[in-house]
This record gives sequence, C-alpha cells and structure tokens, in this order.
Amino acid sequence: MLTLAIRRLMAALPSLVGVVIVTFLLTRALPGDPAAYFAGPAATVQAIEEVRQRLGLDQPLWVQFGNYIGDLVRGDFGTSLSTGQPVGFELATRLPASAELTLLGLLLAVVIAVPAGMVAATRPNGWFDQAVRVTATAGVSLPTFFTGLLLVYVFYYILGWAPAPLGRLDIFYTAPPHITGFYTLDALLIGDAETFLQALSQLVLPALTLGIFALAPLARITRGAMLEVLGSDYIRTARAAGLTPTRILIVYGFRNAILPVLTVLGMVLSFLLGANVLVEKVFAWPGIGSFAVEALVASDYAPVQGFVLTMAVLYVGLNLAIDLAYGLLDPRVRIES
Amino acid sequence: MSAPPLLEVHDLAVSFSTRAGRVPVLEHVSFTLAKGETVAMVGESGSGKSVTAYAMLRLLDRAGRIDAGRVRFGGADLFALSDAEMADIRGREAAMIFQNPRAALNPTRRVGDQIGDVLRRHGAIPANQVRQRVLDLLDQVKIPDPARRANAYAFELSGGMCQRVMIALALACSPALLIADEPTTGLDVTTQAAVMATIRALAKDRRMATILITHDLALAAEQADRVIVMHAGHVVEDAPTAALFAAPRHPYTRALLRATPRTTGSLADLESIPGSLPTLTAPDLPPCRFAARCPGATAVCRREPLPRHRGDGRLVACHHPLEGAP
Repeated sequence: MLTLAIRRLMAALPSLVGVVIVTFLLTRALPGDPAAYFAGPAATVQAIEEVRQRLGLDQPLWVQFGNYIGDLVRGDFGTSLSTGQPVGFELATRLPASAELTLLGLLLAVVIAVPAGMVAATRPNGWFDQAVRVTATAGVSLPTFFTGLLLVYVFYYILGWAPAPLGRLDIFYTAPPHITGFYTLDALLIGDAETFLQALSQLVLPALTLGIFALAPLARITRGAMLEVLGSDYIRTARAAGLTPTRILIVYGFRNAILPVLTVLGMVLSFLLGANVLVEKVFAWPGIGSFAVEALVASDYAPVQGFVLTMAVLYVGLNLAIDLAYGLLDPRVRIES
Repeated sequence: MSAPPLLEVHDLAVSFSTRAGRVPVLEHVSFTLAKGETVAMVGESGSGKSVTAYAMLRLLDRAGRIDAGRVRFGGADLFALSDAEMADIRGREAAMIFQNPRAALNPTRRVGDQIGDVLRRHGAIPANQVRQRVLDLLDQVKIPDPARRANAYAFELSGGMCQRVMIALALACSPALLIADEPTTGLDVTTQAAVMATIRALAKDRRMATILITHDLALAAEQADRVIVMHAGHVVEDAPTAALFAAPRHPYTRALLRATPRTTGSLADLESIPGSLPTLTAPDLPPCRFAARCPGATAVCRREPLPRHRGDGRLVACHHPLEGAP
C-alpha cells in the first residue's frame, strides 16, 4: 500500500512540472500589459517602463522563468499586484473557504444522491426512478448562480430563515482562530457554539446550491453502477440464500458499485473546488475561484500562477487519494497493484 | 399413499415479457420430489430447467411472471407466502448452487464472511460460534486449510474451490432441498467428479433431496434416482433413471440419448436432433412443442392437447409414446 502511494506520487511529479511550465507560459501569452495596467491610465510611457522594470518584466522570458522557479522553491508565490498581499497568504486564507463550502456541498449531494440512486436502481423506470431523474436533471440544468439567487430569494428575502448572503461570517462576529481554516470546525474545536452556528448558517445556502448541482452526476452514476451490480450472479446467490433486501442492497450491491461512484465523486469535487466562482460571487464568499478570476481580469500573473499550481497539486493529491481508496475498498485492485 | 412428498410442483406456468410481447415459457410443469431423493432435470439449453427452479423459489427476475400453478414445499404453499416468509425459507429450507461459481460469489467479501452471512441471517447458531461453524462447513466440503481459505476472496480461489465454497454456503443451514443448477459446468473433469462426490455424500448424510439441473446425460445417469426431461418449457418425460435410459418412451428422450456419446459404439453412431427449439413467440405453437422436430409426429400432435398421464412411476407427454428398446 505504501509502495503504491509512493509510486503514484512519483508518477505525478512530471505532470506537476508540466503544470508549472504551462501556467508560466500561458500567463505570459495572455493579452494585456500588466505594467500598463498597474501604472494607471494616466501614466506616461516612461512611468510604464519603470513599472515594467520593477516587476522584472523587461527581462528575457527564460530569466523570468528562472526567477519564478527560484521563488517557488523558496515557497514564495509572489505578490498580488492588485491586493498587495503575498499570493501564498491569499491562497492560505481563501482555499479553506472554498474547501469548506465545496466539501459541505458535496456531502449534502452524497447523502441525498447515493441512497436515491440505490433505491432507483431497484426498480428501474419506476416512479421513484423517474422522480430522481427529473429532480437531478433539473438541478444540473439550472445555472448555479440562478439556484443560488433563488435560494437567497426564498430563504433570506421571503422566509427570513437564512442570514444575508455576505460571506463566511456576520460582520458582528470575529473569525475563530485559524486551526483548520474551516470556520465551522475551528469554532467547534474551541467550543464556541455560537460562532459555529453562525458560520454554519452562512454556509448552508451556498453549500446547498453546490449540492443541488452535484446531485445529478452522483445519482446517475450510482443508479447505473447499481443496476449493473444488481444483475450479477452474486446478487442472485444472496437472494437464493434468503438474505434481507437491505443487506443485499448495501453489502452485496453498493459495496461492489462503489468504485465508479468514487471516481465521479472525485471529478465532481475537483470541478466544484475551482469552478464555483459564480456561487462565490452570489454569496460574497471569499473563495479561491473568485480570487483567481479577479486576478486574471487584471492580468495579475502571480495569483493566477499560484491558483493554477495549487489546483494542480490538489487534483494530483485527490486522484492519489482516490486510487488508494480503490485499493482499500476493492480487494481485486489491491492484488493488481 | 405414503407420506406427502417434500416438494410438489403442480401445473406451473411461467411467462416472460420481451420486446415481442409475453412469451409463455413454462407450461403445465408438474413433478414431485421425495425426501432424500435425487432428481436430474435434463434438456437442451433454453428448455426451461433453470426457469423452473427459479420460479419454484420465486427468484425469477422482473421480466418473468408466474401465471399459474402451485408449489408445495414441506407443507407450505410457496406462492402464497409473503416475500419475507419466502426469504426465510430460501437458504434455510431450500438452497441453491449455481454454475460459474466464481461469479456467483461476492467479489468484495471474504468467502468465510459470505457463509457467515447466511448463518447469521437464519439465526441458526449464536454469533460467537459462527466462525467455528464456517470453518467446519469448509472442512466438510473438503477445502484444505479452512482457516486460511475463509479469509480469501473468490478471485483468489480456483473454480473448483469456489464451487466448494458455494456448496458450503448452500448447506450452511442444512436445507431439506438443494437445487444444483449446472454445478459442474465450467470445471475440469476431475474437479467435476470431486464436486459431485461432495454434493452426493453430503446429501446422503443429511437425507437432503436434490434437484440436479444438467445437460449432461452421463452425469444424470450416474447421480440421479429419477430423471425429468424437459423440452421447450414442457416436461416431456419423467421416469426412474434406469428405466429411462433402458427404454425412453418420449421421442425427444430417445433423440437426446442418441445424441450422447457412449464408451461402446463409435462416433458415427451419434445422431444430431433435427431442427432447434421452437420459437415460443410463434402464434401457431402446436400443443406438442416437439412436433416440428419429431419423426413420428402426426396431425393429432399439432391439434390435441398433450396427454400427461402418469403410469407405473413414469410420465410421458406424447400422443405416440415409444415402446421397447431405443
């Protein structure tokens, strides 16, 4: 198991190197002149050139790349030109915000979609199956910003159950000390129930928005994988042995259908983590996606490079975790490796 | 009349829904099985042997439907039971083993745990004795080193080992009836013999009735007290093994025997059965489904319902049963 982990990690190194090179070149190839942007609209040609020199952008490309690599090795992601903060700091505060949101959204989706998909597979094309299909399709068809706005309209504006969609905490609260970076978890860890509830109430609507979006792929893959498994010989054996329907469905059915579900889960997670910009905008969530988009619009190299690199590392880590989970969940994978 | 039979299947009819509409697969299937008796069900692939077994235990998949008939088993009317009551009987009173044993075992669960699942489900023994009982069972089906094999997964065992595990699983709760659906298909010859010997010995020990579903006539002749011959969803002949092989009375039985190689006689003596199983969706299916392939068929066979009389311990569903030697 450990050798497998190490081998997979080694195999991931070339892709990380590739990501470093590609992001560097890509950000350089983008239209827009950051020097002109930061010198301001009234700047003279000379002022722009000064900014360019200060940023090191007058150097040849390979020198710039060398500087970039050197900084990376020292753990320096550079400084965001638009916020003036080190990119490393920005990422460290914003990534947990996105991760907390995404993980809760995904958890909600899994808790609903997986059992629904399992039950739908027991009676394909029955009324429950149809209902799941319609709901899931609707969820994935609605753009997330629309679902988000709808939820805000209903639960904040009309019902008043949810707090104003203004970020991770109400302004009258202070953030809990940074332990995991997840406000809800950190509040729990220091035993601050009030902050926990406040953070949770801020989190519910955006998480629900993401969850509704993630329902469809999860429900569909669960149903499909379960259908295949439920038609197999060992399910017939279990029925012939008189095992109870619940046990057949879970231990003999889902246990064998879990690998495709896990694969899709990983894909959905990595997709949501970086791509929920719209949800972050709607809920004023200080996440990593909106940070990256703002930087991109401003031709602010450093944050974009830092963002893409962080996401690449996360993808690699996530895929590694899923590969290892395969081995834990399916004895056949363990043998092959 | 002596004691009532263990199993009594009466006038069973099963149909399947297909794209082409409902297909009447089984018709008028009737037979009985006494305690401790071994019956072989033989016939070509698609003749309805397995469907009969699945229908009896209510294991048909969604497309299959029981249209008529009654199954009495140990005093219970199986078709009148609730799903939960039926599940109580499966695995405890009536168990089944299948062909392709490796696929028939859960690939992600240790084989010992799968046997344990059956023991725990039917509450046969206290939880702390399950493990020991699993090992005993594996030992009874002659699996060497049971303690190690119990922790194996199906894909780590040979086909013959998997079938032994299946047998242990089926016999875990000492059922009164074992249905073995092509238990040796796909195993090599020596393993086949060993698996059959195991089934036979255990059946004898426990006075367990066995239905052996096979297309292997030699196996049927060797193992069974009685043979039921099926063709296209009909029972065409049901007779004691020796009598059936000595003098088949249904033309299909005779054709089957002539299509089976023997140690005496050359390959040139083998005859193939003309035609193939009739298409059951045909609207003009004759009462005798063998009529189109039968050398002795007459107009009566295509018009009149088949006689299904039992006399001197055997049944022949034919208007013109054969007399004398094959």
